[in-house]
Amino acid sequence: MGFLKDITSGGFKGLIVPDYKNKNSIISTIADPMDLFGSRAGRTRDEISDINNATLSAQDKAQREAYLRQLELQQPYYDAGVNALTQLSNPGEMPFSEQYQNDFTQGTRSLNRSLASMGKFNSSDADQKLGQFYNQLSGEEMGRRYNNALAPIKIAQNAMGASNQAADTYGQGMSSAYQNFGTNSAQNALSYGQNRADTYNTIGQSLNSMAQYYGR
Amino acid sequence: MAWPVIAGMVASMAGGAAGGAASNAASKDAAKASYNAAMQEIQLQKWLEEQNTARLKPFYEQGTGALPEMEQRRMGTWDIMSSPYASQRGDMLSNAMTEQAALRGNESGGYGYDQSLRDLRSDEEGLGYERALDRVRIGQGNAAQTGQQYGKYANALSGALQQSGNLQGQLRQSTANQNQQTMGNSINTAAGYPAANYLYNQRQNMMSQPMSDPSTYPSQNGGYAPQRPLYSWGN
Repeated sequence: MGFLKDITSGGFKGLIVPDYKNKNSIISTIADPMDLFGSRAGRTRDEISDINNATLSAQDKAQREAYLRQLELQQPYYDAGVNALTQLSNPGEMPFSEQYQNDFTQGTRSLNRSLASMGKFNSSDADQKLGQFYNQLSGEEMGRRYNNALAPIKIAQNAMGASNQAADTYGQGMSSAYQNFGTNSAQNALSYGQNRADTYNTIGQSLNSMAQYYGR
Repeated sequence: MAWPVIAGMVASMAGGAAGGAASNAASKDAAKASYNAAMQEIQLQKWLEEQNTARLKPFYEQGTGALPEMEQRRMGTWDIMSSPYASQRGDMLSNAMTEQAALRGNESGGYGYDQSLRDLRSDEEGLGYERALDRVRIGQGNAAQTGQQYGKYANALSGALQQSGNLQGQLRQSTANQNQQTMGNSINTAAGYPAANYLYNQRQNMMSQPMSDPSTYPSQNGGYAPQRPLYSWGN
């Protein structure tokens, strides 16, 4: 029987009902009754879907704003650290510190006076003492530059930690939101389908009862 | 079998099939909604991971850039004066000594300069290694953060897909069960009709026949029950 094959193979395009007026044809086919009974269930499904979408959108907006706000707050500290990376690698591009310039000028003057008072102004001893002094000064100056560059980098690392934490909060919050959204959307679609299925079954049972009654 | 019986079976099975088809379509929609939500979550997690990785990148590269220097210093093959710090110190020392030599009418700092340069190299050997290690640690710390972030993304990816997969599996199972039940119920209902019809006809036949001999009533035969049909009266 062709119609049974259509039914069982999922090719159903309408509802097959007994044809009580024509015993020779046994059955007749009418359009899908759900199409005739209106689309209230469809509208309800769409309304629930809109609510789910709006809820998700609102959650995302709130979470994203909180995340971006945290990034904005941390940005100056992050930038300071990134700039310091360049300074860390290129100490020669930094100007001489006030401390170095004062130490250089006053130290050289004091040493020269001391050497002169001992009659060693132009001697190998003077070269040695000046060399030791300038070596010490250069080490101190480079140490300052290095530490001055390192400090903002550590601050930037803390800033990145805060940014990452904000990203975690955003991600975890939206993970729950998306899971709820997916579950709710799935449930919405499933309820809609379940209602249609129940209606079809009821119609089928009603028609079956009608057929039985007619048979008596 | 009479045509109304067949028609009833067909009607019931048609309802069952239509119900199953509707449920099946809804399950596919539901599975699609769940999958789409999982994909959206994955995109967000990936975006967050990319944001973090981009911010961590300059610090990470500082560390990887310092790795060859650290290794060469460890092996003692690093040119100490090639470090920008040592080189800058060398320039400062040289300029100052040259200036002082000129003040004294000499051409260079002579022995004092050479001795100071050796001290500087010795000093920078230790300092430079520590600084290279510091830079490597900066990169390594950020590598750890990047790795953690990527791990979180991977976890989210896994969780989202698992959630979607579980839900899709449940939906498909639910659909299969429902199809089976609706078709089973329909066929069962339809198949029950001939039996009900048979009982109904039997009852009609029996009602049209006279009751048993009144002499067999319990009040007249010592309490024995009258003969009755063995089947149910039905309704």
